[in-house]
Amino acid sequence: MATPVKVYGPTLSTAVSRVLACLLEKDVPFQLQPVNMAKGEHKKPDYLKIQPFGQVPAFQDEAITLFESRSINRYICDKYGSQGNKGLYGTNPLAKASIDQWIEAEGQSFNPPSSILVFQLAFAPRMKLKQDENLIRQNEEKLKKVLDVYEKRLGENQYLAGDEFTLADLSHLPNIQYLVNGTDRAELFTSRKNVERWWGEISGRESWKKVVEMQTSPPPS
Amino acid sequence: MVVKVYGSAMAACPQRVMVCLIELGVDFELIHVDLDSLEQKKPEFLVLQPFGQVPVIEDGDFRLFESRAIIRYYAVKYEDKGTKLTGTTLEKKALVDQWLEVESNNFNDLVYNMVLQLFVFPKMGHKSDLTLVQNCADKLEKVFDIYEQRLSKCKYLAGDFFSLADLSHLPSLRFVMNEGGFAHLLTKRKSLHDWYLDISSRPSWKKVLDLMMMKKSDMSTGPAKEEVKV
Repeated sequence: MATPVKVYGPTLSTAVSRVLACLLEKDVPFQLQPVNMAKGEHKKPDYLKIQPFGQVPAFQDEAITLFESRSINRYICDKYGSQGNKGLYGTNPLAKASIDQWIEAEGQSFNPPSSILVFQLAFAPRMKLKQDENLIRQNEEKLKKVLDVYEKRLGENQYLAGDEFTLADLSHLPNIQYLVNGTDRAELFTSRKNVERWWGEISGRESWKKVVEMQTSPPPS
Repeated sequence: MVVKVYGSAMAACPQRVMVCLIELGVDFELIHVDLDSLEQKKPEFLVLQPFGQVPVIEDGDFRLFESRAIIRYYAVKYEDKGTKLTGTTLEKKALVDQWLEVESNNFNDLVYNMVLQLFVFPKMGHKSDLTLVQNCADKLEKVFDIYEQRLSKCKYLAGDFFSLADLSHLPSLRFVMNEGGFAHLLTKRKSLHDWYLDISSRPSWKKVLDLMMMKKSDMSTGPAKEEVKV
């Protein structure tokens, strides 16, 4: 059996869970390395050696140390192409391009407003920080416009890049999980028929259910 | 059949695609989209790019948007044609991708917000938020410290070869160094500045700057499309 790869960071982090979902889809054994962000461990010299921007996740296998969740996922798909979900990153260049297009759309258009809403609505209350109502309102409006584009796309296609579940859909799982289940803004997704259908399908996958289980179970003592 | 690139020679994201195609030796036709009159938000354009942004490319029947998806696609398609812009091994490819993600997630938005505040908003009659601009500049200093550290160890971001990761930075760095007014952020960091001088002196980038200058001077009377023979 191969040495498990290492993933640094807490399971509650959206970017960390984006990588975990991919590893599970590809049947790649991994070992989670905790990083205590509350104690600032991610900004300490030992961690900065692995991830100089002081962010999570970081990834290590026998060949490489990598950071940035979306590039870690592409690497996992390329390295482990023949195992697990084989079509996750496409099986030909045109399919790959379409998947990359929607991964970029996620990163550039969906992630910024949804991340801010996740922080303001799901994390700030837990951390007893004051919420910024203006920021919430502005980003809800931005997100609605993006979701209107998704609604149209998902009315024409089963998944974002075509007929199959891919890395493009997977990339969206972490933020939507929080918004639908951890805030009172689920209606952003459930009021859009095609988006709601798509969310039900992608979040119902075994791999994602396992990630959610990891997020909600207590850390090992 | 020539690749069609919809966008403006003055805009960062189409420039990212153009410099890549020129490096690869791929001919293209630039079809001008008038961003000032919000042509990209009109129904006819939304059919091509549903988010109402440039660029979008058409290659025969194949259509693709998001500049970084476009450059990834062509860099692999033509990896044996022009400059090899992705790595030669799985690990090198991953490092190129990592630094392309860094450009996209840690660098791009900071400069984009500066552009909005300093140039786009005033054109639309809104006031610039100079505090926000300074905040972005402060964050950029921290990001550039990390780049300085990296580039003091390797000639280019992904290693000893010029790649998509370096290329992707060119449009925004040009802004920072010129009308953005933040050249000092680079000039005071030796490895970072040397890297910028190296990558911005590539013939491919000079060609893009020519196209930009041509567009600036032709603005009201220029041709609607320009075929670029590489």
